Amino acid sequence: MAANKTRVFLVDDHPVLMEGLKVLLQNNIDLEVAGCFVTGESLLAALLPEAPDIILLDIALPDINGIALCQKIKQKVPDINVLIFSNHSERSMIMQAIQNGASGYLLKNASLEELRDGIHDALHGEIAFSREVKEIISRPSRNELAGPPQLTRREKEILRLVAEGKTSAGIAAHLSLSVLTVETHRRNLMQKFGVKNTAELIRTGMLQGFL
Amino acid sequence: MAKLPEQGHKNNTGNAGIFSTGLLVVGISHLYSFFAPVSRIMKRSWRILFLLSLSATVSATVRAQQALPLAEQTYGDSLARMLHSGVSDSSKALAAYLLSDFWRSKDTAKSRSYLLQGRQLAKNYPYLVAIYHFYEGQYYFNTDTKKAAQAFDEAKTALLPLHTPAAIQYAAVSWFNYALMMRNEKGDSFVIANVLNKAIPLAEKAGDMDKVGHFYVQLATLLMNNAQFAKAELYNQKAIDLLRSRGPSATTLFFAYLSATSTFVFDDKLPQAKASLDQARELIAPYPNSINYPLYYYNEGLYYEGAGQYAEALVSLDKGIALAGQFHQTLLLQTMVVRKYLVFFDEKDYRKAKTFLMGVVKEGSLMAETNNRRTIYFQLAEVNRRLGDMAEAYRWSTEYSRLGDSLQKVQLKEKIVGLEARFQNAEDQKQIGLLAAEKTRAELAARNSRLFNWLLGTVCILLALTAVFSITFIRSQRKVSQLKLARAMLDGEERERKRIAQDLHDGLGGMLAGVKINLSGWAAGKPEQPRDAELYRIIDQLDRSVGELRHIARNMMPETLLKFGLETALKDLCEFYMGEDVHIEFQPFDIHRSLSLPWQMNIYRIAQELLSNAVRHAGATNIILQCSQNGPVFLVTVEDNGRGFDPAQQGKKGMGLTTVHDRVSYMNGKMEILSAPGEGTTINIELNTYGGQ
Repeated sequence: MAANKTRVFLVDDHPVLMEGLKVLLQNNIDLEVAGCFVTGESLLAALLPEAPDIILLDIALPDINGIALCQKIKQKVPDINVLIFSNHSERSMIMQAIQNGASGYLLKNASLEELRDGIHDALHGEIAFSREVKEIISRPSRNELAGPPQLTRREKEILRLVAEGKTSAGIAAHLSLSVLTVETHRRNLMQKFGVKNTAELIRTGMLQGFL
Repeated sequence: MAKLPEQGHKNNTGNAGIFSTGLLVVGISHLYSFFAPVSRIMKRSWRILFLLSLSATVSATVRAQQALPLAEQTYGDSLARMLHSGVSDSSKALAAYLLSDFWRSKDTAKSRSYLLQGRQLAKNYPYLVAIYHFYEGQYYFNTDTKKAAQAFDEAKTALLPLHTPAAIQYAAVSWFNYALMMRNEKGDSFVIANVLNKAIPLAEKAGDMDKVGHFYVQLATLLMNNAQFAKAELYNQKAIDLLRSRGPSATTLFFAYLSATSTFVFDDKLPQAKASLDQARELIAPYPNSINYPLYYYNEGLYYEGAGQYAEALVSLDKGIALAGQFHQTLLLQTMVVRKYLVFFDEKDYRKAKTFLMGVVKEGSLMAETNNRRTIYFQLAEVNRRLGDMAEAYRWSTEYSRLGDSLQKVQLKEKIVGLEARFQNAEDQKQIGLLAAEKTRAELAARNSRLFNWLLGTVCILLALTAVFSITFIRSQRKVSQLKLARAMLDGEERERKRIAQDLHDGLGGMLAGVKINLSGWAAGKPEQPRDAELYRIIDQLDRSVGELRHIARNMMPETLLKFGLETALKDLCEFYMGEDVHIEFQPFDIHRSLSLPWQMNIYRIAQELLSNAVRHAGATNIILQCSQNGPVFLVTVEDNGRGFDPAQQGKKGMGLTTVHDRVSYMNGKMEILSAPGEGTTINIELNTYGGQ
């Protein structure tokens, strides 16, 4: 019985949460909480002798941030599943965590079902996200459908002036800007349109209706 | 210069010997011994005092004795012969001068005519023209002290450029006589100083030892008159030693002996006085007609008086008085008359003394001078008192006082006139001084005001410059300090925010999460599974509390900025603000990870503020956040399609742009706000990362 039970390590610097989580996991999901750690250092030290099946890892730790710690864990014991269990809801955090080998990302306001599902998914080799995390991840993709690059007013102005044959210096004088600023805008424009020179820039600009 | 014929008058060569004229003063000196006591020291003191008070006004009537050669008759004749048969004008002129001097106390008319004749003859000889002034002084010697003083002054000035021994001799005597003429005005000390410092050195320079001896004698007489007997004796002895070594028959030596005689008498050294007197008698004995006999008799009388031989004293004085009258030696005559009375007084023969004094009063010649009259009145009062005739004594005493009063009045009047003149003069001087001072003050004031204006101008300019510099400096300093302050504040703020954010996020957030998990666990652990809607509503509220807390914490401190840098943080930020109806396009270009954390933080805060404004206040649905770096330049553009505003009206202060502006200044940046109502807003920020890397 005991051998079949999934063994889990908890890493969190917050004792109240850790205590509650421990009770919750043991009572409701039938997991064995094999260890509780407050620091990344202590976790790493306990890792090798008795590797758990899964680690619930907080990001905010006193000695190391959880995402970096995740990478170290995966380097040390690649088979271990690491679930980030954090209050951080930034997309970059989530993506970075996945990139560092995390099996999923759960926000701490996740429901018991989400927690259970997440652990289950992770143990079965899937990437596990809580509902809110899924929302966060999906948001940019929705916005990326916007199509052609948006140009700022300043960029449109400069594109127009470039098309008129003005040099950077001329444009700078005309707009009361420094030459470097104009050059920067030109460079940005070319990046936006994915072009290599001014002629292409003007052509693409015309094609996309900015001129 | 022609050699003068001389008889019985041994002297050194040439004209030098003729200079006996300088000796004339000896008589004056003796005036001061007028009432000088002889026998009793007690008496001496009051009489000397008395004498001195008398002497002050006596000078006008001075009749000095002439120091002519003892053989003066032949001397006069030989001079006259020389004037008539002289070989040159120069020798004739000198003879005329000397004749003028010879006759001046015997016949003033003759003296004056010779003087003028001499000047006529001297015309072509500068030396003789110069000594004309000397002889003019001699001419006025007894009659007009002021004219004499002026003449001697002119003489010594005229003689100054001439360096012949003869000229220097005349200069010496001119100095001496000038000092004598100034005696009443300047006092004995002036005379003594001039004798010692001018006359004697000049005489020595001229090699005229006879003159040096003479000056010693004069010096001794002056000292004696000032009761400095020891010093007087010293100079007398010097004179005698000097003159004896050069020839015992000199007139000067005769005077030296007589001077020594009176000094010794007054000093109560009778044997020495006797010896000196004998020497003098030996010298004058060959010349029974000498005009110097009265002076000899005076000294003889003085000696006898001192020795208490009153009868002999009276005989000597009578002889002297007779001869003095004959030679018109008025001063000496008066001196001897008073001396005679004093002999009677010393004898205590008051009746005789009184009779004698009454004779003097009757005779009248001594009574002409007020001062002398007063002295005589005093003596009459004194002698009557001694006789017991108090009524008479009182009468003369009253006379004496009255005369004293009137004399004092005259003196007072003279003094007042003199004082007035001096006062007027002083007043004039003062007026002139005042006017001059006024002028000077005006000039000074003008100059001062000019100077002041310059100064004021300069000060103004300086102040203006200082002010400009100060303002510039203060402004730059203020800017610097403002920036420093802003930086410090921002840094401090960020630190504090970070701390609070972490506390919220990890502390409170974790606890809330724990509560929620515990609650969920408790609910899940119940076998009956109470599907209580109320419980799930509470759990949901907890969830939202944690969500809100995260929101606050993120605003407080972007965790991703610290972990993944600016670009990632900005991307998260954009995603955070995005919603169903708000699209934010984030356009990053070449943002370097090398930017310093405070800079990244600042840029993040700027973007946060601007995005917040666009979403909350402008009601924008489409927003572009563009951040691009190119070397040191970092550009931030936030563009929205919101309702816009009038930058002129709302200004930079509106919409929480103040802190943005502060941050931009802090990063050496410029901010441009382009907006118009209904046309959205574009904010262009250009930051310069020099020093911020």
